[in-house]
Amino acid sequence: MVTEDRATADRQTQWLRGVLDLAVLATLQSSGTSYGYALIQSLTEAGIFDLKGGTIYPLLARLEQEGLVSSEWRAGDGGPGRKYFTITTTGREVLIRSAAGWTDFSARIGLILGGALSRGGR
Amino acid sequence: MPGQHGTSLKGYTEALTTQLRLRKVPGKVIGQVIAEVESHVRETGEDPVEAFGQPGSYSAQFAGRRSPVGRGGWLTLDDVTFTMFMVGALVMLNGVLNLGEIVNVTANVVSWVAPIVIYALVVGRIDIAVADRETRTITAARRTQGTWAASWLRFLAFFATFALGMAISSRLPHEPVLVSLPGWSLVLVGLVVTAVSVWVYQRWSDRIVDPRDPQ
Repeated sequence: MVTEDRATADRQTQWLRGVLDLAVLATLQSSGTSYGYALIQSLTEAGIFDLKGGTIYPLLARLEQEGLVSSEWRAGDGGPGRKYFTITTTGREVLIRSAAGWTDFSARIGLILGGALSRGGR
Repeated sequence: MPGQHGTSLKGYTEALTTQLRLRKVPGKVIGQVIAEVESHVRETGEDPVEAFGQPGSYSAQFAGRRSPVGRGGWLTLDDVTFTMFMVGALVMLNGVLNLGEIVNVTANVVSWVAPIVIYALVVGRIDIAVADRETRTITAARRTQGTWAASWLRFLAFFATFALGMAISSRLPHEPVLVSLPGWSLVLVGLVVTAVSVWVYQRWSDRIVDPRDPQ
């Protein structure tokens, strides 16, 4: 059972690897501006668990390098300074294009897997 | 405050900085990465290793296609400026010891410069290997052993350099005389060479920039 849970978690990690950047861009689009830890919290609330700083920050750095997000350091209120991220115009365009591609792709995979499910149920 | 892995935030960021340096990540990027780790850990209270992974694997994510851990060429800025500094210091010492006299600079000077260059190259490479071993994964015991070993190696290499210089110098002829200079001018030349080495290092080394510092 533990091995099965592990296998499921590993598979979900693989799925997430291909789409986490889009999830981050979408979260930034809806929140306007956000920082690393708040993004992890938002994604966790959305059902994406076990996200670590070691995953999010390199991803944000890559998105910034590609011009999809911009960043700015702001001093905290008595706490540590935070790096705030905002989605750019290019980021919005890439998000819309890629979100459409992902929806189309997942629908096609859904059809294939849905067929397997219904056959298995018989 | 140490986390579950027994790692303090300071210990983790120091190890991560070393690993990023060894992977030739630019100083500006290193500043960003370290600031993000500090900000995240201070806000969440998480263990740095738990949140970001071991310094070796986390730093690899920022290295991209840059070459793996190494020195970045057979002769680096560190090697050149260190050699310049040591040669300058040696010239200055020679000048101070012969302040009121005329000093004959002979071709034998090579016997002192060569060991210094060898020292810079050898010790630099030992330092890289030890630093990588100490910081790739956080292990307190290994760090202590590694630091002691590196200190002893440096100490031995330093004396070996002078022993080598003296051995070569005693076997080479002290002729021809290249130039005869008063002791005070050697002090001046030594001062200029050491000052230039410090300036070159300050000017050209890729310094870490903290993005939270006001520009």
